[in-house]
Amino acid sequence: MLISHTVKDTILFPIVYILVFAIALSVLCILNIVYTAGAGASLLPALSQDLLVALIPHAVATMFVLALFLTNFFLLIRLQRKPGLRFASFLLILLCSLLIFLLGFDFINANYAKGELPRGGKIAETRDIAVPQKLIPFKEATLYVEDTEGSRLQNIVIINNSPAAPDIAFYKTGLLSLSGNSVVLNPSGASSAQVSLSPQPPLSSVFAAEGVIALLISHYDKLCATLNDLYNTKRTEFYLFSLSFLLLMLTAGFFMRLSRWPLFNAFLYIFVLLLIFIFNNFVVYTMIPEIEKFIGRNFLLNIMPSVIMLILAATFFLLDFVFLPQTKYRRKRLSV
Amino acid sequence: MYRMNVSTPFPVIVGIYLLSFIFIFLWLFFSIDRAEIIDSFFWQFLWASAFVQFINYFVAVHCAGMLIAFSLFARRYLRLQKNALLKFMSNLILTLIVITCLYIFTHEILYPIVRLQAEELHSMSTMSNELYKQAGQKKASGDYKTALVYIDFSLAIDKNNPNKINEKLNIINNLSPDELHIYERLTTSDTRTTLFDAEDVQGLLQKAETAYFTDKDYVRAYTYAESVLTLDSSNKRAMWISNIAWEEISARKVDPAIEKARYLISEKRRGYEAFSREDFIEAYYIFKALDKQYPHDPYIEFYLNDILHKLPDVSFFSDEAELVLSLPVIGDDYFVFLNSKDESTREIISVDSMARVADEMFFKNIEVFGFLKQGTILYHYIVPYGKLNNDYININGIHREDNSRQTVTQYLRGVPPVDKLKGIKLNVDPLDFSYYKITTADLQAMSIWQLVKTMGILNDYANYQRVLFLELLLKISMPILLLVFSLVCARIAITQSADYIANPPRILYLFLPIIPFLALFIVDMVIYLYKIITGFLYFSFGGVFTVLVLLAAHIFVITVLFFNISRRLYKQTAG
Repeated sequence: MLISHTVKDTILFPIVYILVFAIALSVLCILNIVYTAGAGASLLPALSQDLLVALIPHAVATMFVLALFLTNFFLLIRLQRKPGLRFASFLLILLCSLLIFLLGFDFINANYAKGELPRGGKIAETRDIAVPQKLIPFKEATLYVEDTEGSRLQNIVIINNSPAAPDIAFYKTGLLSLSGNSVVLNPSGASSAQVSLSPQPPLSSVFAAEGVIALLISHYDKLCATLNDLYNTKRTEFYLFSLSFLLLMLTAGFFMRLSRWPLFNAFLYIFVLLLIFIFNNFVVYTMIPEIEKFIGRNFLLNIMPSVIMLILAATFFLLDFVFLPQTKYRRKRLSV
Repeated sequence: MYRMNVSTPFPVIVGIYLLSFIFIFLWLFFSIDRAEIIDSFFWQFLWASAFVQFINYFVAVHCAGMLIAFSLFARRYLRLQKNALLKFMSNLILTLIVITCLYIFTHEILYPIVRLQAEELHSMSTMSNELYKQAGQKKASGDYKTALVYIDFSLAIDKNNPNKINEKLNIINNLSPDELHIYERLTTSDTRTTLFDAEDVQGLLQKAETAYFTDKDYVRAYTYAESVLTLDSSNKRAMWISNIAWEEISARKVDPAIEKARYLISEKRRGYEAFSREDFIEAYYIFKALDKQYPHDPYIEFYLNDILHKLPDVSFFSDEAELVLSLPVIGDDYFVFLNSKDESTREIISVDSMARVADEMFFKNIEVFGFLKQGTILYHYIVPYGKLNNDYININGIHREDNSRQTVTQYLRGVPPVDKLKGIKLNVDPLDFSYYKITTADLQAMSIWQLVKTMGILNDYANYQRVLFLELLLKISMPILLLVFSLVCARIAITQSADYIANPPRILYLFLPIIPFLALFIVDMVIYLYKIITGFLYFSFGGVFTVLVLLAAHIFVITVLFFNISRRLYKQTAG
């Protein structure tokens, strides 16, 4: 009975992996769509259903790698609680992770335009922007409109944000239109030039990430950029990098059973993962370019991050599967 | 083996608060650049900054405290008898509510005050140090007069700095006698008493009579008579002597000495007339020119000082404004406001940059545009420099030395309704100017009442209300989120508690800082996601819907967590 439970726990890993990944990706995509739509809505309020649907590919492309990381984290927690045949379970997680990663990356690159955010004139109506008898701040200028009739504005004052005086210009009438995320004003009169206005903080930065969030996002973006770059230019290095990175993430699960305090173990694992992220970005973006100055770009240099990660992964693997006794899982049976 | 004697989680949580505060304090102590902050402000700035940072990180610190207290030391107080469970849970909720109330009080009342104080100390230090630096540069280039203006501004902020005082004395020592005399004139508070304290009206009148009738020195007679009139303008005897002395001087043959005296008296008269009709700018330039030629004339000194006391009501020194606004620390602080909006007229004012030194506020490139709402332009003008004087922006800038460099208003269209003496009437509170160029960081640091106040101030701006309302929603949610975070942490910690039978290994304590460090990342991430979802709901479905959804969600989550924790604890009760 015990053996059958153990085998069952192991067999369930791929199914659980796919389920957790699907849930993680869905939740993250919803958050990303909400973020993108909300960020646009901070200036231009009316959202259309078409826009929300159009944001899905961008969300999938952005959140795919993060969803995979989260799935690995949850599966490692499961591995501590229900290890089944532990080594087999570990291999299954690695296999699922690698397959989903490589196939997903292929799929996203083949079907979705990379990082392209759909924008269009449907985001808002001009009436939402040109609020009459109010100062309307933009990055380039502040607008004042006395009256509006749809997109036709009357008695317009444009106060330019430029050091050259005079800053203030007056127009009797003008037409307002949307172009991407900008607003275009066409004042009446032959000599009048078209004025393009874009959102200004804090209106344009309601959802801007700051502090530690910005730091995390920047590291995540760098990692994604590395992956994209390798995928598009050096496919062999890409496969090696993916394998070593995922292997390192999973073998670092060793930290999740280091002490008899599971909460601390989980925090320690996240901490180690953060260090891996930062170290990897340091190697790719700082160390390699420095070395490159002396020896030039070559295959060995290209695979250097992967090799470092593989060495680390092998160390963690040995510590986890060879030096730490398997009985450590059953923490409640242990005494000090 | 020593065992920690704790019966509730809260001493551990308070301990983590204290350790975190000490860490933040020490971190700031070693990381603040001492050169950036004036010495006399340093400790005040350090305490204020430590407090601000502690409150910024409080939610994360509190979560870390909850996690450690409920998981590492849980076995000390979570082996409850069944009958003690209810008491434990009610104590837990009560204590969390007390912590939340203290957080609200601190965040809403103390935090904005202390943060503002820290910012002011920092900006004043930056300004003073920059002025000091500029003074050094001017001194090195031999421009001692400008260096002195800079150092005086710097000392206005940092009054007791011995280095700056020494530097000022050093600069003064480099001034030429004439420059020193002019400087003393500009900085001496009032010489009225020193000028005439030895004399009274009768004494001066006596001297005037003696000079006229006995010595036949009409120039001296005139000077004494004018001095009497300065003290007593209705003195008929002095008026008479002044007139007859002037007639005598005017009737004399051309003689260089007499001609010089006649010129002096004539100019003094002209200056006095300008002063009498309250044209202080004209009077300033006349007496200033005379002062250069006759540096020790007490009559000129007297009027010049009197004018310098009256000038701030009608003018300002544009060279001061130029110096302050040209400092590198003054960025482009472009802002626009609707100065007036009544039934038919509108007035829009734009300002390119603004600088505040001590109590003085200077502006650069003020552009004023007035029009009828039907579309007729009433006036449009540009002023290069201005200075705040109560409810007015004074635009009558004069140069200390050079009357050809007065601030000239460029009138582009129409005749503006400007008060010739006072300048542009402000219909808004000048203290609100900083709100017109508000940043995202400012919004995030505001308390609830400040946000409500800002909503009123920025009522003339489109779209700001929605962003402010979103921040308001988040601010109101924060105490409730703190409660939710506390319960979530307690729930996770109880499930993931350590199972050390004795005390944990001591090496573990070395790694404990990982928990608050990562709690900061996780808490910030959750708050960020909360903001995104709240923002999306609000921008898409409106305020009422969002408030209702948030309310329902919070009540639901708190109730579920409360019962979940109770159930979990009930399961592991010993009784």
